[in-house]
Parts: sequence; C-alpha cells; structure tokens
Amino acid sequence: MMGGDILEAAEADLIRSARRGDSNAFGQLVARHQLAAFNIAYRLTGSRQEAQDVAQEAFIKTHQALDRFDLQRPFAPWFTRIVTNTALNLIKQRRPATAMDEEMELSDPAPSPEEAAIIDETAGRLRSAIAALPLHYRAAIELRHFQGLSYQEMSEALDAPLSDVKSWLFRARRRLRETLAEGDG
Amino acid sequence: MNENGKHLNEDVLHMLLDGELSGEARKQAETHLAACEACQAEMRGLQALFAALAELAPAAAPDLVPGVLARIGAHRRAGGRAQPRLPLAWIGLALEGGAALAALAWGWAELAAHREIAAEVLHASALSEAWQRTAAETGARWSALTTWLAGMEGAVRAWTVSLAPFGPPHLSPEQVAAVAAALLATWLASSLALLRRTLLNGQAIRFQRRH
Repeated sequence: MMGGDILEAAEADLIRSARRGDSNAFGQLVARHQLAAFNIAYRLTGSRQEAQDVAQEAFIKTHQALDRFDLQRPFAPWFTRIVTNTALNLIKQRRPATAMDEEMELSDPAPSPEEAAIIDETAGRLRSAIAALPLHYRAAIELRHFQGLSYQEMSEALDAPLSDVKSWLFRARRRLRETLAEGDG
Repeated sequence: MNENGKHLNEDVLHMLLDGELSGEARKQAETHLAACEACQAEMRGLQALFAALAELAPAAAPDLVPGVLARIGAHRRAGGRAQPRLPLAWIGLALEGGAALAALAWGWAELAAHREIAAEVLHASALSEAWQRTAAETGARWSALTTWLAGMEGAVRAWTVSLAPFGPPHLSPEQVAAVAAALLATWLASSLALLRRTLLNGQAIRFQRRH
C-alpha cells in the first residue's frame, strides 16, 4: 500500500467513526483539513474573519453530509468543493449585484504588517494580483495551484462547464504573468 | 514552429504543464516544444509563474476544532444527528400515532357498544361540563377544539370503562383527563420536533444537491 493510500484509508476510518457519532474522530478530520479550508476561504473572501466563518460553516455542512460521502472517493476534493461553494455563496450574498464574471475590487487579502515584513516583493505583488482577479478566476487559481484539483474536479467544485473552468484558469494566469512582468520591467 | 509554420496554442502549454494533455496531443506538443525556441520561452514564462505561486506560503489558520465541535454538540442537543435517522423517526412517530389512534378507535367502539354505561359516566363527569362551559364562553373560535377535547375525554373514559372488568377500577375524571392530555401533548411534541428536523434535513439535502 502506498503512503497516500494509507493516509486515505486512515481518513476513511475517521469518517466511519465520525458517522457513528465519534466527535474526536471528526475533530481529527477538522485538524487535518483546517489549514486548507481556511486558506481557500481566505484567498477567496479576502478577510480573515470571513475565512474563519466560512471554514467553520463548511466543516458543519461536511459533518451533516458525511453519511452521503462515498468512501471509495478521496475526501479532499469533495471537502474542497464544500468550502469553495460556502465561500462563493457568502461572497454572492455580500455582493448581490455582482455578476459571476464581473471584475471585482476585493478588500485586500494581503497579509498583516508583521507578515508583510517577512515576505519578498514578488510574493506580495502576486498576492495582490490574485486578490484583484475576478472571483471565478481567483477560484480557478486557488483550486488548481493551491489545492491541486484536476480540471474535472474544478468543474465539479465550481459547478461549471469544463470549458469555462479552463478559460478562467488560463486567463487568470495571463493576468498574473502580466502583473509580474510589469513589476520586473 | 511546427510543419504548418505555427506555434503551439498557449492553451496547449497550460494543459501540458497541468498534466491534462495525453496521448497523441501530448506527443505532438512535446515534439514541437523540443524544436521551437519561442514556445520554449513561453513555457518558461508559465513555469516561472507556477513556481512563484508554489512559493506562496499559506496563511496561518486559527484552530477551528473547538468551535466546530461545540457547534456540532449544540446541533445534536437541538435534535440533530444524535437522534435516530429521519426514516426511523417517522416510523416511530407513525407507530406512536397509530397506537394512539387505535386506542381512541377502540374507545369510540366501546363508547358505542356500552353507550349506556359511557353516557352515565360522561354525565357524571365534571370535566365534560367544564368542556361545555369553556366552549360556550370562548365562542366559535375554540369550540372545535373544546368539542374535540370533550370527545377525546369521552373516548378515553369509555376505553377505561371497557377495561374495567379486566383491570383496575375506573380512573377518576382527573386521571382520565391527565391521560388524554399526556397522550395529546406527547404526540404533538413528537410531531413538532420531527417536523423541525425534517425541515432542517431538507435544507441539508438541498445543500447536498447543490454540491
């Protein structure tokens, strides 16, 4: 059995225990995935407080849906989908008039001054450029580069056609490259 | 450039780097790349972006475990997952309601079969008078309810009358009323709790279908 298989088997055991009402097992699942959940939500919402709320809500929804999770499939893409949709729903509620593909000026998810002091200039520019992307471009970057989802998994997570997802991802990369090139020039 | 004098489409480079190109398309792209400096330069630009993204450190996350477990605990105390699954709960409620209805039906049957005894007992019931008085005082708005309650009392009373030869002596009117009220309250509470859970579950199922 490979390392990844062992991890997934252990995760399936945790899910089985959590289904039987074992809070400790679900706590371990939360501990395993909270960094990813928080970062997805943080990069999408641009707010630490909202990210914390979204991540917590996503775990509650996950717990409620655990009985319907297919243990033959990996947990992370399924969970990522819940976090992403929870965050997107919150953003849509926050900005009801904003169309899906519309350009948005988000609150700056740039790190705190303490964090900013220790990151280099390129990383700072890149973070700002990601934050300035339209919502679904940003979601595509998040799911592909930070969560490692395939195009198909991204399509399922965002409930959008494969062609749209690829288009968002490629356009987002083009914009980020332009931003980085401007900084270098 | 390839044999047609064209560079690779940029989307092909993205898909190649993402590992989403396979078979013949991948072979063609790799062959072209090996011979085309312009496409190699484009590829290097994309690879630089991938590397920069990979180097971005994740933001430190707060510990969500205590908050999540506290909310799940609160949800359970409010009638969530610690309760039996909904189908079982509905079966339980159906059995409970069925038993109550069967008892009442039996009571009504006994009321009809022992009309004289029941009429005598009902006539002696101070509570029946109280129901009638309440119905008169509250008017039409509550008359249906008080009539129903009076009928229920009569059914329970007739039921106890029919059981008298086999069991303990007749219940007092207050005890009969208490039994009727307890039956009614229990069934109503179960129904409301289950209705609430069904609505909450409906929300969860709609969420599931969306995701």
